[in-house]
Amino acid sequence: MKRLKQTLSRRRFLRGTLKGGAVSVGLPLLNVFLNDNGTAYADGMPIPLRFGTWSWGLGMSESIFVPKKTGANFDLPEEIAALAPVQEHLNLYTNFHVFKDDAPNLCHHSGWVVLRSGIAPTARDNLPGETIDVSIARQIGNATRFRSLSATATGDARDSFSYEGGNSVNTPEWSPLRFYQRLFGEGFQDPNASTFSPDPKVMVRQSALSAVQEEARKLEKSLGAEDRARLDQYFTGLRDLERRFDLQLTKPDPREACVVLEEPMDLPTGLDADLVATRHRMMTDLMLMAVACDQTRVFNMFYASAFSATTQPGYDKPHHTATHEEAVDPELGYQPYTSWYTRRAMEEWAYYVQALDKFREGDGSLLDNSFIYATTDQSFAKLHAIDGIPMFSAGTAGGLVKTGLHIDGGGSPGCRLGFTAQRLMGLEIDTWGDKSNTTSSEISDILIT
Amino acid sequence: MGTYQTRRWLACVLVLSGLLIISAVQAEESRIRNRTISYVMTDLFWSVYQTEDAQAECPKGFNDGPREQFEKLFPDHESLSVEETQLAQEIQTWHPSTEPDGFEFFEVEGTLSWGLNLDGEVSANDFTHPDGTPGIDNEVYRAVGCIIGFRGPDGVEYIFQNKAILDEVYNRMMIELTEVDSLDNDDSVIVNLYRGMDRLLTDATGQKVMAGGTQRIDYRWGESLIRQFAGQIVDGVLITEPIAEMIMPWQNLSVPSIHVFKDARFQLDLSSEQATGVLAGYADVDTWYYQLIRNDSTHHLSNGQISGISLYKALRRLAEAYPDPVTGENTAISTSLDVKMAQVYIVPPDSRAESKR
Repeated sequence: MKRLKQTLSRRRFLRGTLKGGAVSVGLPLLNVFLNDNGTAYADGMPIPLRFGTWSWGLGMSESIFVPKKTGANFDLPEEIAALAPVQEHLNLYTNFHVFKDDAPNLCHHSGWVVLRSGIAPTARDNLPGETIDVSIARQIGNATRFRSLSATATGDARDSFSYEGGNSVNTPEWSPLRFYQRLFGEGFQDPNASTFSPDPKVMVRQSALSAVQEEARKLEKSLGAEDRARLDQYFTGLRDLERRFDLQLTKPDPREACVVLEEPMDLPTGLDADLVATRHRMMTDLMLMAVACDQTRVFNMFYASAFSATTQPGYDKPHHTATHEEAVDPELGYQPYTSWYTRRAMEEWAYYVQALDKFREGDGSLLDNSFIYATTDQSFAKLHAIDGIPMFSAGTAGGLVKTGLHIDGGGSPGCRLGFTAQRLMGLEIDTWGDKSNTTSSEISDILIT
Repeated sequence: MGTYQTRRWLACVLVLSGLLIISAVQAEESRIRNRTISYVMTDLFWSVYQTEDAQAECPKGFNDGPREQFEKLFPDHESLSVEETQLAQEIQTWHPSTEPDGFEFFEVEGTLSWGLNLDGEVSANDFTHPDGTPGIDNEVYRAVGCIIGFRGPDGVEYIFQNKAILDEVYNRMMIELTEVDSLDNDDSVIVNLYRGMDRLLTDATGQKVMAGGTQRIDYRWGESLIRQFAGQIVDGVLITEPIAEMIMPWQNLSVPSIHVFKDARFQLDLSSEQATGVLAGYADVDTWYYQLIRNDSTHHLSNGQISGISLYKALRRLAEAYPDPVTGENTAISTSLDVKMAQVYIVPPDSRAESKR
């Protein structure tokens, strides 16, 4: 080891040749550098399974949101009346709890973090574990150009419920034009194009990686176990990059629903509810076309933030402010202006589900081959309540899930839906969540056995 | 035979009942160790007597907050500068005066209030306790009772104050009763007031505090908060002697602050698992006010329609104790807070070295 220390420097590169030219790839930080302390289409091609999330802010008005009837053909109270056109395609989950155990109830934070990661955060800047979409993307996102995609209708790049770790939030696309350019601009290969031309730049990058593999194997033999593991992890990442280059150098399989859209106009900034709805629909259309074109199989759509500042014409309080300042109308039994915001969110949720259903795939739709997990941050936002937090799912996950149901959780962990989703996506996990949010119980009422 | 079996069955029931009673007694006694039992605060908020429609206490309705007052003061605010409008109001909030602000302030007009008779007198200005006890001194209630932010169950102050006790540690106050012979009647007990250092023991929801947790005493930063005073237990109620001056750490919206109470006293219904009742005394007006505005920006005050500017004038107007020796103006105002505590085991002082955080 001592001799190796003398021959390896932190600035060591793995070198190879490519078409007569030298190429090099840097190394990760190794111990050796440290001191001693240290269903199917007609042609038989399988239709891929997709996973998506959808987020809305500030919960619900329970008295006009939670149906009286459970099971199939449940009633649609006025706050979710907009869901009538898509009721058959979704499930509504109520009376599921988020448990904080000994962690504080972090306003507008604890609820969504638990439902997305299974772990109660201990501070506002604490993002424990990783979110469910990240875990699922590792399982089903490796065969596409983008392992996952995130977009927000708020126009704010900070609005994301997706993270790999505390310091690694997946930044969402916030501008329709930028999103379009990322999806269908440079690097996009139209799966339905009659011709295919590999991108020369991708070819160079791919070859560079291949060229250093042999030296990497030599180096591996001379390292300790911990460094070998670290180097292996590093090259796993590089191999994943190489695999993605391969994908871009291979003519993609045709996708019947994939149509390259026209470049959109960009939108002004702002959070007027009509503007947010317009942005949400533009981002949804782009996102779902990217899915239909098999650019990604994991996708996050963010309608409104936990501290939603959406505004409504003729009313002086944005959504979050309204939840706290508006009194509960004693006759109605709810906050009418606050409920207006939730109703707008439900209109957009209905749009999203309908949009998924419009893409035809094989004998069904994109929605039939997806499972969408929709969550919020509070139940009754005025009190920052996280018990009885509502959730939705949409889609049948390739025929594995029943829809059109209202499920009463009976006070069980909300993490059961996330656990169920991960199992549906093929993750071999026996439990999910931490402390009282831990569950090994799928929501069997929705599963087709 | 049947009679014999019935007798045997009855005997078994009697034995089991006896065992259950003994177990219950032992459970209670087991929480008193070395003649000591302690409780940690889980809820603390201004005592606000509320009727369902508020007509009895607030016949004129609720007070306006910053937004409502702003609209009335500056109907043409778009033609005015920020200095003339928002900043002018902020300056008045942070440098309040007793001069009239042009708004009628709705004080509580009802006759009933929670609280204690602090001065031992019954005067025309006093409230009557809902149980009929006259002479209740609670002028803070008169000031805040018609401000929606101070009313339960969803007033912003009400929500955040008790949430902060669950979520934070800075405000972890507890009482230790020593020389306790019985939780029913005991003519002399010693009460120690400490700040704890640990999170509360809760159920999985994190909302319900359980008896039987442990706490260490904060002997370092909490040393100035330690008090010792006498008390007695009468028919299960702890009644303490007035504490000359008590400092209550207060945390709301993550901002640490304090309240200062003079002649503070507890009146708590005791059980082996909890203590509930009131903490009453005279609150230092300026400390009370600055706690509020330090914890709550105008944004949060607006959530509860709390005009700091108007409220300060009311507090000063209603203050009735501890006159300033120079100006003669009263500096303190009678108040009462609803208190809930859960039984807790305090780590013995022998562990003092460990608690020097």
